[in-house]
Amino acid sequence: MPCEHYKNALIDAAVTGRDLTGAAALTAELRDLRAHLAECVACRAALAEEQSLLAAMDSGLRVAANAEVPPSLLPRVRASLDEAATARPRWSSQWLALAVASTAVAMLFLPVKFRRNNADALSINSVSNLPTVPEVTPTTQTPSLSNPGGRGKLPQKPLASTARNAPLRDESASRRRSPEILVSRDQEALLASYAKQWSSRVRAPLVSSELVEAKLEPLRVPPIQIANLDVKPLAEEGSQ
Amino acid sequence: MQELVLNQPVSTARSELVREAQADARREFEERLAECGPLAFRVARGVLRNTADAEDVAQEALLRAYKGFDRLRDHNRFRGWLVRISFRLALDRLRSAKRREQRDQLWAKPVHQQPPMSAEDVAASNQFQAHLDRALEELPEKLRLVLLLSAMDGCTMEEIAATVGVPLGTVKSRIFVARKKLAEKLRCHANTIKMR
Repeated sequence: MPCEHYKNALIDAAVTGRDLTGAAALTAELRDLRAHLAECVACRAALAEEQSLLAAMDSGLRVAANAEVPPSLLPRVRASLDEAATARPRWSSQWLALAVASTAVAMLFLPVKFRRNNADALSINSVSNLPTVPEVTPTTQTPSLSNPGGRGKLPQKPLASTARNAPLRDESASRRRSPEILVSRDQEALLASYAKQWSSRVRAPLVSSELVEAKLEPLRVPPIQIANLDVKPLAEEGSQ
Repeated sequence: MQELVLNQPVSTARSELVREAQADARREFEERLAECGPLAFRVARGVLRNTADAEDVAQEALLRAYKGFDRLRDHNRFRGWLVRISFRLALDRLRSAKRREQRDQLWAKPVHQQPPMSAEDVAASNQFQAHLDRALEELPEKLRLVLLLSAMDGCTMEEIAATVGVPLGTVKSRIFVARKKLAEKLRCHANTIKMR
């Protein structure tokens, strides 16, 4: 085993591969090491082992770094270069095909997205119009220009706008139903009665041609009863 | 129609010029291929330690170099450029291969105490080679590349400096540090030196 004092100097000498026995000019440190090696057998053995390890390492590195080049390498590379040269124009056509395909996909999906946005906007409109519908009170049953002979009769076909809005209204109603609102039991009962009255009402027509003979009675909703809050003082800190 | 007749020779001449330029580039690349192809392979082989993988990597590196040959401003730097491409690709492949392989099992095996061998015998032993591969993989990339190039026959320090693009002194110090680190790692596993 080498002496601890000369350990690093031994390793450095082995790594640099410097000949310590020769007459070459040495630094003071190396001269000291050479003098020590002359009298320390253990350090001489350690240096020999270290040099052996580095020689093995270099040998292994050389084996890896100077491996025989397979004769198939250059022909393979030349073939791939030829292939790349001929494939170059194909790249542009591939990009063109990709662009066409992506445009087609976009054309397919854009109308769907547009329709969805449109539907959302319509449903929002219908929702916002809903509370105002009962407010419309039929004044007089005047025949419209589009239906002069149809006085007092229900229209056979609903208008296109009404037909379009009908499913959307249902959809919006289902959307409105989905979130749950936490209310107290008495308020919930009141809301239920309000909803019952609301659903029993006949939907008022939007157009004068759709006037119904039956006269609608105004909706009566009892005021919501809210109990007075019972404020109690906080418990003292000591009780916790 | 008249316009077409006038334009046709211009476009033909232009395409001929492009074709000629491509042929020139190909010729120039072919000249360098014979010299630098083996270098790309050896760099990859030094990293991967596998001939088939190194051949694949060298082919890919040369193909990439060819595709980017027009963009290389100084063609005299082709050698270093190719070495870097090959080294990078080899490292990438090694990393992806490492994910698949479980080399830890190899390290789990205890190192047998053997009588001292000659340098050639030690290098020839598979166990030592496995340790050396592992130790090389653990080296920082810039140290590894310089060490690999220094181990190649006929590769001088000046050439390494030109290839890597660093001063000569930096190359020398990197080689020294790389050898020292590698020896340390190998010593840990081979248990060569036992301190008092």
